Amino acid sequence: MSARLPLEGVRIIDMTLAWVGPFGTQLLADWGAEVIRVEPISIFQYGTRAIQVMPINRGLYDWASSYPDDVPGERHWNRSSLFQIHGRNKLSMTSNIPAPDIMDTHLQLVSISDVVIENNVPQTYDKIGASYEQLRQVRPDIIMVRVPAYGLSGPYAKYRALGPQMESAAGYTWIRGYRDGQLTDAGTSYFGDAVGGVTEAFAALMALCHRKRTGQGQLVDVATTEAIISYIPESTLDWQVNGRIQSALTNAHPSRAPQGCYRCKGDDNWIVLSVGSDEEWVSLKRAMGDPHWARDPRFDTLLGRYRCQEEIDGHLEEWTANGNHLELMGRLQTEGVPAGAVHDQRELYEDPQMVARGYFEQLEQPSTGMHPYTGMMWKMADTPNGIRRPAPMLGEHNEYVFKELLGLTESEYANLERKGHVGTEYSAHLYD
Amino acid sequence: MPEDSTGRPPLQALAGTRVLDLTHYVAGPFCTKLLADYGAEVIKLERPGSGDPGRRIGPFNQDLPNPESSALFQYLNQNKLGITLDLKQSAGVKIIESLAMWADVIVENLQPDVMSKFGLGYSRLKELNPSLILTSISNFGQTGPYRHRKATEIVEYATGGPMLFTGASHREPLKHGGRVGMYFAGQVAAIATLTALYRQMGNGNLGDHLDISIMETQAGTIDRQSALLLGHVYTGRRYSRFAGENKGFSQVYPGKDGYMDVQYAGGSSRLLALLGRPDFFEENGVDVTTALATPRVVQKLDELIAEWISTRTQIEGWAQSQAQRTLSAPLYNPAGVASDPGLRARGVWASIDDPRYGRQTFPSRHMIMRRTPWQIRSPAPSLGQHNRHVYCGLLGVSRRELSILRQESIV
Repeated sequence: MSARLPLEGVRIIDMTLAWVGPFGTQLLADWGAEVIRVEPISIFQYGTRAIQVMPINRGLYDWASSYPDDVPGERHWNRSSLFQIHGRNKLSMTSNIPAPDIMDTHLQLVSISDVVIENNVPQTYDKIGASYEQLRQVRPDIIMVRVPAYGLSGPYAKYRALGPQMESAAGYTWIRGYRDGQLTDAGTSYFGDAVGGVTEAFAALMALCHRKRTGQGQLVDVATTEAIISYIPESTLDWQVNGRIQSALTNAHPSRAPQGCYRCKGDDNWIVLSVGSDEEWVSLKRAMGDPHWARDPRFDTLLGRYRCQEEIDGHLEEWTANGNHLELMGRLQTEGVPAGAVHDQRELYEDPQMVARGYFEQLEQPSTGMHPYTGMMWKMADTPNGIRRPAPMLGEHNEYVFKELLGLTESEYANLERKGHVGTEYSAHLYD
Repeated sequence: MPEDSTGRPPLQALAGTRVLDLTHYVAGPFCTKLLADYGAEVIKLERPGSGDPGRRIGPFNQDLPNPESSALFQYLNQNKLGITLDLKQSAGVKIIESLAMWADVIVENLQPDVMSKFGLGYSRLKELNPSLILTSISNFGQTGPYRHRKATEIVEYATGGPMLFTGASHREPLKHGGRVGMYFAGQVAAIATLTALYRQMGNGNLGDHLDISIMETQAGTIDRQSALLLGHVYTGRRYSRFAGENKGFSQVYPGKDGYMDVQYAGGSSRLLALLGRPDFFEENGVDVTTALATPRVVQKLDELIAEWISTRTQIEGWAQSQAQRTLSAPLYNPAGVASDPGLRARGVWASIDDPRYGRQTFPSRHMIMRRTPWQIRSPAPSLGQHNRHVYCGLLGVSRRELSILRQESIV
């Protein structure tokens, strides 16, 4: 017997864009919430369904958003890798908010919903006439989660940012990089988007729990930059208590040695390993076949290894360079050394652990076909779960929302179509 | 500001939720910290004598390690009650069974199977308390061939995350900064716990066992990895590092008092206006769609930005570029983050008086809940600080019995 998904019965109005916002609502949709994306078709939300309205094929953004066989195809916004991942389990309706003739309908939708989530630039969202106070008038216990870069208040409230800028302002970019300080070499990470997304989901869930207990809704202000700060206390606390400015360590660890990423046989294959205790050092020596260099008594203690990390790294890479990274992972782990191959995408799909746990899920999407997708972020033993539906086509659920949920008549619906609110394509003027 | 003005501190979002915390190090304690910070009553259990090994991770106050001096341990364990208990003794297991009946949630990050070895597997706990939520965080999950394997943060990022894609193509792949992957897993565990808690609140008797694999949290992250994985099966291409040879996303430049991060894809025309060179693309015979794919133009643009930033402080450059709606930010070091006036004004930092070290400043709330705000109620417990409170007050152990438990080194 399997239980209902935990968030079944919760309806969420999803007005998010780019990566941060949609990631949080993905987690809520995955666990049973009915998440309705409210999507404009008179503008194109940058980097959400695709990078931009004109498809970019094999260009600069291939890594962020690509298409099956490199063919964007018709209505490419229904096919990009980016949207297929964060759009799954969600519904899509179109609505050109803040056009005045749609706001009543929008508020009617809010009145039958539990949570509204948005991550626009605050001053952009504030213009649409759907503030928390306005939403409360139609739904007194509404929960609203807003996810701006720097918060709804303070001197930076109106500042714009994507993940990399928030990571920089939070002090994260500073501690992520090569030891020699070549900041450009570190490139970008978009870890900040992930942090903002989970904090958004956490905010919505706490507010839902509180509402369940008290009947009260509320507004939650999630500043992604501040959420990132909560993930890197080691560096800010070292400044607070010791006046020390920590800097990037490449792949080394502040209190374990050796730890690093080492080249293996082949082109661009790598293994990471991390040794802390003396016991782990003995295990590493055993895995390497007890080579002569490693018997140096200076390496017998953590402090000694810490001081000689560079020397040890050189020896280690001589050893790993002749090995297959996947085999080395197995051999090191068998001996008790924390180690892992730096997996490429195919290797991760084929990884025995991922396969054994059934992490990836095969899913058929009507316009892209059958592909494996990343699965649920966690498992619940008594509540089996999987992807219930592929990412929605733009406007796929217009009829469901406008007619079934809101009770619009055929002629009212046709009127919204005529006015350009309801559709399955973006306005022609966007292509000019 | 909280909307209730009764004079009493406002109710917190998770007030009344009871959590038994069997976690150690970082990922698990961050999960229970998130719950404690927003009102849950968290009892943290540590082994007698040495306590949570997280007490031995720095930074330490004045660089002097002792079990109470880790600022990181303080941060991760504020607002929790602390008790000691030896799980390896049967009397210890009996006590856990009583606490399992008290708790709504148990969070643990022991090696998989360890709970079962103590006779505290999910099936046993469920017998004792059918509505219990057991949240298990582990390196690779509770099942599968890697379940007993060892890992630190870098191992999880390499095996599950976009590490291959991070760094420069002519150098080795680069890990996350700090331990952020562990914090991320902790927050995912907190979300998982709250989904189950929400269901438990609506349907009194429904618990569950949540299985969080840190490797899987990396594989599913929006930090490029989930889209890269699907992109690979879409195109057949292997995605690896490109930084250093590819400009056009986010770049860093030195200014008068520190670095700035500037994003120039997506808003090139605004950026050119900011630099006072609106006709730059035309002058160079390119347009907005071809500019960033033309190395000669990118290099010139790069020089223009570098020159502009070099004459400004971080705060000046930030404000001026934002006025032109250009995406930018200061690249702060830890001292820069701590002293930024805007972040301070928002209340990003909180101070608490520590009996041993005086006034201490920590990162504060992760969000502003307007009705049920974050609070710092108490500093992290010293080892076994709340033994009497919990054993005698909560579980009805007499003081005489408690001294026997102490004598037997169970507590």
